[in-house]
Amino acid sequence: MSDKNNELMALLSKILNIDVESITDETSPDNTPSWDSFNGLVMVSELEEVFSVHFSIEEVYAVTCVKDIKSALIRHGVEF
Amino acid sequence: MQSIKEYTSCNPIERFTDYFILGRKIDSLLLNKDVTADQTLNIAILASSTVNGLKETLHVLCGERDIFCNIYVAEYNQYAQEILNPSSSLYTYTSEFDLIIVNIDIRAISGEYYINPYSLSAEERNNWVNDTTVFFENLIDNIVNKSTSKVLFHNLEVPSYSPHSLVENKDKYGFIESIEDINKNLRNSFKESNQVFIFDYNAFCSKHGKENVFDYKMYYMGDIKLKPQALPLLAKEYARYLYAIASINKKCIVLDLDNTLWGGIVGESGIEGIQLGPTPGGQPFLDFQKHLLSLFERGVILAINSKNNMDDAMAVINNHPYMILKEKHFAAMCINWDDKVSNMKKLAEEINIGLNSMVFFDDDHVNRDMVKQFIPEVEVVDLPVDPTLYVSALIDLDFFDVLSLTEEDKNKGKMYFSEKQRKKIKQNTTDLSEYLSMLDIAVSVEFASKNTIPRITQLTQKTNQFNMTTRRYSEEQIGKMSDDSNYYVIALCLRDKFGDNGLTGLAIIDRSDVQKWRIDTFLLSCRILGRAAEDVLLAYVVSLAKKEGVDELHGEFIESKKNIPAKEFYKKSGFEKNVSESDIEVWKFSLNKKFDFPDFIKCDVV
Repeated sequence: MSDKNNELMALLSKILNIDVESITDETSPDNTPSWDSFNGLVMVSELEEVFSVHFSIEEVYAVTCVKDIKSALIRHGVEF
Repeated sequence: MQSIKEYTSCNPIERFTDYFILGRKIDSLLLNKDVTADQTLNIAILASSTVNGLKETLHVLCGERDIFCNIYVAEYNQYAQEILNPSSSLYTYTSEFDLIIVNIDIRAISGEYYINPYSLSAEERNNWVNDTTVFFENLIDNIVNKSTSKVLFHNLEVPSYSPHSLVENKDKYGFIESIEDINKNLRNSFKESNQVFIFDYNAFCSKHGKENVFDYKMYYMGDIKLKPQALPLLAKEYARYLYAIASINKKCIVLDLDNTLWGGIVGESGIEGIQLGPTPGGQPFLDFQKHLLSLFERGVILAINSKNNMDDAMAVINNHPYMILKEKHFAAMCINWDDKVSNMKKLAEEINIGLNSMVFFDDDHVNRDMVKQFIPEVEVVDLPVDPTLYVSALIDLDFFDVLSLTEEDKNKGKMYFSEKQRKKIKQNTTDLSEYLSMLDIAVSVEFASKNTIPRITQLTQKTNQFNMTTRRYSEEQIGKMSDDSNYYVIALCLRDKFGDNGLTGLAIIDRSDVQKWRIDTFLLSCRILGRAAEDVLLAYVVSLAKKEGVDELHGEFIESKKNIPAKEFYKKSGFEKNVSESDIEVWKFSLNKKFDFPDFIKCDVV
C-alpha cells in the first residue's frame, strides 16, 4: 500500500478510535458508531490540513464511506 | 490502582485528536472507578456555539496533574436559559461547580451588526454596546447571586475586518472600537471581584492568529467558531484556572548556572569568557534572567543547583556587570560537585518547602532525567537546546498561576531588593541631599477617602517611631474625622526610583479653632524615614493653613518609649515650645514664617 494510503488509514484510525486493520473501503457512519457528525467534521478539517486540499461543502456531504474519501482526495490530485 | 496522572503519562499526545480519544477513555475509567485522582473538580461549560472535544481535552490536561473533572456541557447555545433559570442543571448539579465557563461568541451575540455595523448610527452603535454590556453583566450577576462558583467569562474577539477598512478608526464611534469597549467594560466591572474572571479570548485569538483559529467551513457546517485543531489550545488556557483552583501551583524555581543563567562554562572560560550581556549570544541569557527576576518580584522563590566551584560561580554572581540575579535573590544555593538529586533535596529542606513545589531548569538532559526519575514530584522543564527559546519556555509555564496576588506577594521580593539598593547608593554618596535627589523621590498628598481609610487606620495603629502623638484610631474614628469639616485627614504617598512605598504618611489637623490649627497626628511609616517626607507633609500643612488665613499651627508631641526619632522634629522645623500641659508638649509655629517644600522632591497634590 502507498504511503498516502497508510497516512489516510492512520488518520482515520485516530479520529474514529478504531484499528487500522478494521478500516475498509466500506467503513461508513452506518457501521462505525464513532463516526458521528462532530468526528465527521474533524475528519474534514484533518484531511484538508494533512493532504493540503480544500473540499467544497457539496463534496463533504457526498461522502458516505471511506471509498468516497479516497475518490475525493484523488480528484484533488492526491496519488494513492 | 493506577492514578489518573500515571495513566495519562503512558498515553503520549501527538496530535489533537489524541486528546479526544484519551479524554473519552479517562471519562469511562473514572466512571468505573478504575483509576484514582488526587482531586476532583466540577466544571460547567456554557457556549453559544459547538464546543465538542473541549470536555475530552480538559480530562487529559487535568489528568496530567492528577485531577479528575466532572464536566457538564450545557446544550448548544442554551447559555442564557441555563443561567437565568434557577432550576437549571447549572444550579441543581450533584454538587456546586468549582468553575463555570461562559463562552459567548461575537458572531452569536452581534448577529447582523457583525456583518454590517454601519447600518446603525454612531449613537445606535453606542446603545448596542451599552445593552450588550448590561446583558453580559446581568448574566454574570445572575450566576454570582445564585451560586458561589467561580465564573470564567469570555470577552469578545475583536474583529480584524471592518467594512470601513482603512478609515475604520476615523469614524466618530467605530465598529472595532465598539467591540473593544464591551471588553473594556467587562474588565472594569469585575476588576474587584474574586469570583468572576474575564477570560481574554481576544488575546487568545491574537496569540494563535485570528485567521488560524477560525475555519469558515467548520463554521457553516457545524457552527464551530474555533476549529478543532485549536481546541486544545483553548482548553490549556481554561486548565490554568483549574490548576489555580486546585492550588497545585509551584513555589520555587531551581536553576542550574552554566548554559542556563549564562552561556558557556565559567570553570573553563572564566568570568570574561561566559556569554551574558547585550550581545547576540549573551542577550538571551540576560533576558532570561530578567524574566526570572520579574517572577521573583511577584513572590516566586529562586534557588541554585549547580555543579561548579563555589568561587567561580560566586565571582560571576557578585561581579559580572550583566548578572541580573544576585546572591540576595536566591533563597538557597547548592553549588558543589554533589549529584543534583541530593542537592535538590537539600534545597527543599533548607527553604522548607515540599519537593512538589519545585520547578527545575537545567540545560543538561542527563541531569534533568536523573531528577525526573528519582524525584518525580519535582517538575522538570524540558529546556530547549537553543537558548534563544529559554524565555518562551519560561513564560509558557503554567505552574505559577494564582487567582489573586496579594500586595504582600507582589512586594515581598521588591521591597527587600529596593532597600538593599538604597543602602548601596547611600554608601557611595556622602551628601544627604545629593543622595536624596538621586533617589528621584516623588510624593503625593491627598485627603482621606473611602479607599484609603483602612490603610490610614492601620498606620495610626502600627506606627511607633516617627509618630508625634501615637494616638491610635479605629476605622470608624478616622472615617468620622474625614467627614467632619473640623478636621483635615491628609495622607502622603511616596515613591522613588526603586519602587512605590504606597500610603506611608499621615497628618490629622484639628481646625475647629480657625486661627489656631492643632496637629493632632503627624506620622511617617518607618519604611520611608530619612527621605525628607516629613518636610513635604509639614510644608503642605503650612501651605494649607496660609491659604486659609490661619495664624498659628500647634504641633503636639507625646513622648513614648519608641518615638525618639520624632522628638526633635518640631524644634528643627522652626516651631517654638509652648507651656507644657501635662504630658503633651505643645509646639507653636507662627504662619508669618516660611516653611518651604524641599526642592529635590517632586510633590503632587491630588
